Amino acid sequence: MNAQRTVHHASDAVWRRYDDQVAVISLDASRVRLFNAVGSFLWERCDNATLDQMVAAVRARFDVDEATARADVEGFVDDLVARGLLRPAAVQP
Amino acid sequence: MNGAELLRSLALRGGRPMGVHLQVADRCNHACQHCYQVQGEKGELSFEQLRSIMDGIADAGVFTLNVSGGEATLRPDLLDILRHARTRGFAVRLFTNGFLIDEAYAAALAAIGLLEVHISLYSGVAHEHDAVTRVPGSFARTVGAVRALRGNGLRVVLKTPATTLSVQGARTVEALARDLGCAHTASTDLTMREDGADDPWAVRVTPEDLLREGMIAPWQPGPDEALAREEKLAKYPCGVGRSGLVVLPDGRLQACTDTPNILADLTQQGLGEALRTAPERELFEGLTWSRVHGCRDCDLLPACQRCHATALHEGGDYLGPYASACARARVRYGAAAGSLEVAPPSADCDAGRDPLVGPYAIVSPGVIRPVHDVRTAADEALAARFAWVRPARPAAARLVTIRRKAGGAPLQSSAVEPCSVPTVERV
Repeated sequence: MNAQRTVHHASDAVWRRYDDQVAVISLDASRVRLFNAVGSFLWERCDNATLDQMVAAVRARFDVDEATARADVEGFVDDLVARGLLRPAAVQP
Repeated sequence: MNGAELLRSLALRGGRPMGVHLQVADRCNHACQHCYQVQGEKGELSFEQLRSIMDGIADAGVFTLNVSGGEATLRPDLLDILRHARTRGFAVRLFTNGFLIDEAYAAALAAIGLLEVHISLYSGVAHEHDAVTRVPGSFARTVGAVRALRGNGLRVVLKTPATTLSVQGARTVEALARDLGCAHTASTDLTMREDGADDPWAVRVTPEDLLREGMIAPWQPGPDEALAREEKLAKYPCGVGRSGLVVLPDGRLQACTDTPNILADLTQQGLGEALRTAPERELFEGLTWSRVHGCRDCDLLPACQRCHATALHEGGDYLGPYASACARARVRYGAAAGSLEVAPPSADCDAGRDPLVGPYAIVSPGVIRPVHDVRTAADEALAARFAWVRPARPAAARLVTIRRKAGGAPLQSSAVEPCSVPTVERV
């Protein structure tokens, strides 16, 4: 995914935070995904954010190097886009 | 643990319900005899009031919102209500009879995005369904609504409570549900009407017929009976006050649809504050089978299911055994044992001990004996603290939850667990 392109929560993704965990369901798939602390942190910051912004947020919060953070965030975003829980923003003409 | 159980446990760990049932309409276009509701007495809230209540429920971190009535589709602003619920991030279920849902309405619901639409269908045979609703043609309209909803991609759950008017309804609806691509759930319990009338029970299916129809199963003690008992004692008979909160059409909060105790008025305070301050919270959070006197000492406990509100209505004690649940447990045990004999009560029972109400001891295969219902000091203290759980007067005279609250909004003049989220993924 392009580092400058934003993603947003899918309109049919329903989520709530329970202490340090976020649970998300998709109205379509009827499937619960329960994020760990890092995933929960990211989920709450990935709506209308770019990859670079998410990487910066993770590095500011967790003790992790740039390359690891970027790889983890990319994997997280790509997986959720594939599952329909995140949508890439439309490309401006 | 499936998805629904996971969400419920996460919510309860945080001291909040997973879902809330929001009744938005105090009216209905069907006239089912088994219905627990009394229409037109409570009044309804304006959209602005409902929006404020939904905001409070969302702020309390509730995941699912079940929007129901009466018949919710009788409100002209129902789509606005559902849109606001989605805006506040709820997974929304609509409970409806489907009578007013046509293709355009189904498309509008699909555009809003709902988790599920729950529709009551009493039989796969038109005249049997219509006999329950007492509205000719209702079967055709409801099935038409289901087709429209499915055609627009919405998940539909068909629900069939057993009544004497459609004893085989669950079986016929199950087949229809398969054809229509819907999920199906059947229930065997009817509760009293909220004004205390017994009308719904006139069409209650007997335990013997439920057994014959395969809706309840024979039961006999297993080799690990002691363990089974211990596990059941730690469980909750239902989600009352924990996962089954209900907001009445006038904004009052109840612990479930049938428990006649008002916890709060959500037009005056948010759900979060109501949950923090309601003294009944302590009662419901501890309301496992171990808190139900009589039942906890009964050998038929593993065969039993109960509704606390029905216990209050039938036996005058929210936390005690009651006849219809005991009858069902006896039928299940008798079916497995081949026969059932109820021996005279044990010597320590009070004079006039009703043999049709537990607790029972199994004295030999197929023979049970009524035994003393032990009430502890803790039971008495609970009943003293929450007087409504064991009222001094007969329960039926007290179960009037339909009165309009003081200053309540007038009825509008215009003409409706758990959770089917089966998969859990941890990331």
